[in-house]
Amino acid sequence: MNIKEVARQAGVSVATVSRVLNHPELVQPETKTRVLSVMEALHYTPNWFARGLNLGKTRTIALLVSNIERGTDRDLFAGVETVALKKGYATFLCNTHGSAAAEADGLRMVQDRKADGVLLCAPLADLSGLHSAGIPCVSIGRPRDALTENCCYINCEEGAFRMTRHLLSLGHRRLVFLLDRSDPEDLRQVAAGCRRAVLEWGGGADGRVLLTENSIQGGFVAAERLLQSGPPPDALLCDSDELAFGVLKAARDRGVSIPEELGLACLTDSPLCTIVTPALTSLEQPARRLGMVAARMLFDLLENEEFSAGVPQEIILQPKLKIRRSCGNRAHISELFDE
Amino acid sequence: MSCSVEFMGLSLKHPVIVAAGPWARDGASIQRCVDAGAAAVVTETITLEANPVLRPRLYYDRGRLFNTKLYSDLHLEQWEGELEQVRLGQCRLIASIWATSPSELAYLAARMERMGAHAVEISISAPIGTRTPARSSDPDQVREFVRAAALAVDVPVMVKLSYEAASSPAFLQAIREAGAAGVSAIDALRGIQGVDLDARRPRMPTYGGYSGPSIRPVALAAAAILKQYSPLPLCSVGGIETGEQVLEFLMLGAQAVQVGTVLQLEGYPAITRIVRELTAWMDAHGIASPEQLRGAALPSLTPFEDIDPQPLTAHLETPCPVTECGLCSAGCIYGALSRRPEGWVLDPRLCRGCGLCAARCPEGRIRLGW
Repeated sequence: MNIKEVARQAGVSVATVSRVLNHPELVQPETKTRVLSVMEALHYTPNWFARGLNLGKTRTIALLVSNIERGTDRDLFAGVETVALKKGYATFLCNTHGSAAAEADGLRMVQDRKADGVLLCAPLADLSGLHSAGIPCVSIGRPRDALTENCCYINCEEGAFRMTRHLLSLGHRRLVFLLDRSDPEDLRQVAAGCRRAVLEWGGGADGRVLLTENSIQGGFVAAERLLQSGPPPDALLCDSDELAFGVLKAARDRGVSIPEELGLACLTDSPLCTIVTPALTSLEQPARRLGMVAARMLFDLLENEEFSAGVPQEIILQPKLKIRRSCGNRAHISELFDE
Repeated sequence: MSCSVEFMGLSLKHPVIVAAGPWARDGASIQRCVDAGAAAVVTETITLEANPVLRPRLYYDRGRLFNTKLYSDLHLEQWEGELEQVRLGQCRLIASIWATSPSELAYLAARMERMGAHAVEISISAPIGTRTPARSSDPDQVREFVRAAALAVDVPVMVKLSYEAASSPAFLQAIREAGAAGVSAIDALRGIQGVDLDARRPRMPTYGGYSGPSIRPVALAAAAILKQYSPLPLCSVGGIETGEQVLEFLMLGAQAVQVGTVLQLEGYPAITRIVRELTAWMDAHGIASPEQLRGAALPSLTPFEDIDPQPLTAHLETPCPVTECGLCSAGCIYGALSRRPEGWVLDPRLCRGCGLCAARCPEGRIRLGW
């Protein structure tokens, strides 16, 4: 099936079909609808390779994440892909494991394969290579210093702060923060939010950070150690739901009741948090929406020249506190409304 | 005669706008509003993510409507395609938006402006979902959101208010300083339809937006209060079903109105009917422009303390033979109405002039007078 047949059946010229594919905004809506329905009926798909050669575009974007096995990175990818597909773009994924070398490899591949744009999670490398190659880029993650490119991120610091303050407001004073050690930048943000809440609370509040591997097993081992070595803290705040599930198991094995003897919360909500008993208080991370925002910022750059010249934009998303039963909250109203 | 009005710098062919809601959820439904003659259409509230729709979404009980749909179920990219197809003509398009942070809202406002929206409405107080009423009427929480959106676009930005926010001077001042060009009020109230006694469960799984004619008096009061606190142009919303009700809001100071629930219950022709009724009334009363009526009823609103009590009592000229009715007597806590063989009779010496029997008599037999 080729473009000539589509043009013939739709009663338009080949140039019009080509415009529908490449510059749909220039085509009358009725004509566009007719051409698209003929394409659909004929199962016509353009030859992407040939298009790439003609237009200097491959209609692909790249997403570099640090750990795709993590739920939030999966949601992020799903969000990016949702937007990319609607724009007729394919997304390829590079998993960097938080390593600068893997990130550099990924970026080389982006250039070699002529991706049209890049989304980068927590970039470690210098991005000047991308800039000089003229490849638009949006960074996902809080910028460490001045804003040099378009970026978007979830405000983890504020999320950790609000969750910690929630624990303190329920009467927990001695807190342990069980955090993922693999992502230094995330770790810095989260720890800063936890500390800020403890400092602002003042009298009697105390928080200690423990680092661990981000897995159920990591949570289990850390909780075992903690429960062996003396009286448990008032509450334990875990970086992820997986860590919290590990803690739940250790507590059950040792007969420590949650929330009566130990409050437990996590900073990454998942559907499982409502399934376990007690249901886990958690922070809902809008990772999917973050992926959609990042992709949209990138397509803004790809589609509108004036955006590339402008001041870098920053979009910040807020996580949402989901108050459930694992920290001692008994007010049902808190489960219904944001604080 | 011309019905045209100006609202936040937008020229509207008349004051009737379609409110944000599922009746303006995509290109085709917006087109139906346009074709029925709306002066402007507010889209269903758009966020950065498509949102799932509950089934059932609507709860209905004897004229009371409760809605549990909060946001659009289309992605922004889909909205682009949908809006491209709409032939607006003279009708104006207002994009209703909401987001969880100021920067997110600013982005969304700019995107909607690029899609051709003539104005943006920030849906700050929707009564569904997890936003507490306290938060959405707190000036400090809202100021940054409004400012971010207003700075991001050149088109006017309006804010949709709850009753609480619409009657708070501090809130109105805050959004005005933040760059709001106008307001719409009131949003639906938070409601629960009822409780199933056998199941011991509410009749709906979550709070709903309670709308329709029963909230109209609240919206009228909000219009009167708001117009006296703030110079912001007002688009009134809340249970409007007829052209004459549109006029009531204009006379309390509104520049324009929004209709929603009536479309859900009657369909899109309600727009045409309301506009026809509005123009017919203006024609019949020799009114050249809605401007002549704006705020006309406000000066006669009086503080309760300043109203001089008048020695009014109810009068029933002849005994009422409709013995089976008894509404007058049932509602008379002063015992002024009694039943005699010849029918209901009223003893003016016992009457305290409350006015209920006169208002309630289905036959209009009772009159309040000196």
